[in-house]
Amino acid sequence: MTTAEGKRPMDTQGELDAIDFAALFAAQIHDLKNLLFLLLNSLDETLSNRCSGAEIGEDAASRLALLKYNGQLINDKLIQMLSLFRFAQGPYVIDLAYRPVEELIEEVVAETKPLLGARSIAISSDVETGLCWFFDRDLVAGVLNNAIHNALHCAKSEIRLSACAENGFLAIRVEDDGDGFPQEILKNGGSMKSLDLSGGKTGLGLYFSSVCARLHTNKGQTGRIELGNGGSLGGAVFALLLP
Amino acid sequence: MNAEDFQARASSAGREPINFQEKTFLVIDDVVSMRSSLRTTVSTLGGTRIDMAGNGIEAINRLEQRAYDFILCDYDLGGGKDGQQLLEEIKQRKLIKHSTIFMMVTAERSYEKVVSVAELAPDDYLIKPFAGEVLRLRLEHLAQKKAYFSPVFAFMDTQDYRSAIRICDELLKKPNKYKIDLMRLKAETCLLLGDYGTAGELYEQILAIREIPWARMGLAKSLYQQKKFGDAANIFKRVTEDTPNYMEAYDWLAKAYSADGDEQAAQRTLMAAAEKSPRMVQRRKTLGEIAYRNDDLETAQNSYEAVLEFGKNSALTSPEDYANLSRVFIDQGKCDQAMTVMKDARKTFKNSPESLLHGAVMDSLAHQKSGNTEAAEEALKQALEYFEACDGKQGSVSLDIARSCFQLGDEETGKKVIQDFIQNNHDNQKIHRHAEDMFRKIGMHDKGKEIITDSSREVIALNNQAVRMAQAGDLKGSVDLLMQAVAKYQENTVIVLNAAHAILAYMQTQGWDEALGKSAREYLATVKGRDPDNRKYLMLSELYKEIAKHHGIKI
Repeated sequence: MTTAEGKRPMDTQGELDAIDFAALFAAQIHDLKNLLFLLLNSLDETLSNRCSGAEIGEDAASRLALLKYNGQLINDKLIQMLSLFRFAQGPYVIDLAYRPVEELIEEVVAETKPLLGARSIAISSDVETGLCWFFDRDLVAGVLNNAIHNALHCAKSEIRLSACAENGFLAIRVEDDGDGFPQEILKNGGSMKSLDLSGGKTGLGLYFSSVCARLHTNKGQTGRIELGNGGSLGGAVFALLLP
Repeated sequence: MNAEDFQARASSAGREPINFQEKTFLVIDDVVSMRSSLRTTVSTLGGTRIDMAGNGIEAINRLEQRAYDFILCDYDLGGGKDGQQLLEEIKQRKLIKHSTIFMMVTAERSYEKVVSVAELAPDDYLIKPFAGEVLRLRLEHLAQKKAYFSPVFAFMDTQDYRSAIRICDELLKKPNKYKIDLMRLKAETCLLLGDYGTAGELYEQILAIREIPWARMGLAKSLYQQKKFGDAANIFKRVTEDTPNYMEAYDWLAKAYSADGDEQAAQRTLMAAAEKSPRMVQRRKTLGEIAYRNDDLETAQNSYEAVLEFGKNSALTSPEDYANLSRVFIDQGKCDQAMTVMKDARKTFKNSPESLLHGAVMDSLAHQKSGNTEAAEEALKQALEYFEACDGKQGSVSLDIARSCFQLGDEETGKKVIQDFIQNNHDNQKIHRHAEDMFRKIGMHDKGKEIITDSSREVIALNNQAVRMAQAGDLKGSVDLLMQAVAKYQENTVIVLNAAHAILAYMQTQGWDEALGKSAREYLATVKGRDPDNRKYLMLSELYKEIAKHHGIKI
């Protein structure tokens, strides 16, 4: 590699060549998540100070919510990259535990609410009472958060989460009342084909979701994601199906 | 309170908002900014009573002074211990109550989460970044779960495992979200109690619902305990293949190979595990032991050196570990290094009696190897004095002393030392094998075997006689015989337990006897001090309580 000044000294080049970039990036993502935690926490602190009476206008508050939303999007990407890296290092063992689905949905909704800010979007959930399932909570939460953040981008006024048991699968759906998925995403979403590293949107989120779903297997059956339009709100429907 | 009340209480424990203002928190993180950020999050929930610790030592100091309701601990604590090691120490030293909620905070889920034993796992993991609201929900769900399980843990705390299992059974009658946790807890308790059949069935049931690594492990453990070593090894092997980072599976696989007589496979297994996680001190010790037995001195040396390196400045090493390395050096003919190691041991342990004893023995063996008989005899004389003065003569030091005696021609003393050692461990096959190895190494294989067999024969005969007397209905005769045996073989845990058992059987039919009851109590306390998890001890102490209760004796 050359620079404006000419060739780099060989020892520097040698050092750089010796770096294991995959491992370096993974370690740095780890640090980035820690930093993001500090950043989002100070945002939360600022927001809660406002509630307790300190002076921040409505306008500033909604801008803070937007900041938080963007912070969450960064976190989604970090989770996706780090997880895919770990999967690739293989063999990856998911943390299957038998859990109440209601608790998962409750958490995901609680994480979303502060992101709404001044936008008048309603978020509701409907979970079959007492429904418990075997799943990896952290992976599934990563998938759902990504789906909700996409929905937040598209929804006009409403997002709905629902969970029920369907033909031996746990089905969790995220629906919105936006314009729905474009045709090419409906066709390729979640496949390697959808990963376009040259364009602006890589489709990484859907690919990650699809891999997470497939890591859930049970008695010969494999998890999957399904994308559709319409649904109960007329917009995009993201479904995660786990055996 | 009976089981039905517990059932009612447990099922009525719904999730209620927690008043965090009343609760105490301990936040453990090595990074100052992270610590204060966590504190901020806790205070947004309403928490005010928040203590902080910057490392494991500070955390333990805090925990020694007061009890906390919630502990938030970062997994990565800088140098020294990580969060999981800290948690294990806290649990082993019983520094937290069962009701305390321990939350591990981490930027990335660690592998241990998936594979750790339920008993040593944190209550939950929280992945950074997380919102304050999520922390609140998690803590509330965990508090609900704790309340649900509290009747079971109350009995576990008093080691009343049968009642704990009874409560699990009651709770399992109703469908509930903790079903799998309850089955796991019951299975682990059954393993503890020695009810391996039931434990195995429970793990099979869980596996029929879902393939989960810990359930597969549990099944294999129950097979191992039923001495089906080959079957157990096959399953442990499968776990290491399916989940290569499940380190506990390697330890058990090696144990199963060893028990099945395949020491070479055991060594290979542990070597693979040591390569994956080199800092695990206990595993390195076992590897060193097996490699030494397999005459692979190079691996033994590497392993014992790693034990000293990674166990430095921790409670994980003892003078015996230095002696183990020193012994390898002696067998390799590196006598100077052998003595240097023991010099280090005396320095590290500030001339503790144990370090002086091990040091003198190894010095004596090293002098012999380098042909300096006079110095060897001097050191042995010193060693025997220390040996005489120390009680609880456990472990390898007896074998080293005996070896030194035999090699220097003092057969009488050597034989006496081995006799005591074997008689105090007459049914411990591992110790017999170690003794045989020692004799083999000094070229006394046949003679040694004879000494070992003769020594254990006396104890076995005495024990069998007591059993025959009891079977013939002479319970008192059996008690007397075993109590005499205890006086002679105080260090023999099996004999002490059998004596306690005989007393309890006698009192079951003949009624309470104050003096005998006192002896039984003392015997049980002795074993508890040596081996608190001993299954027969647990069984007998329950029996003791039952009999005492039956006769209206206050415990």
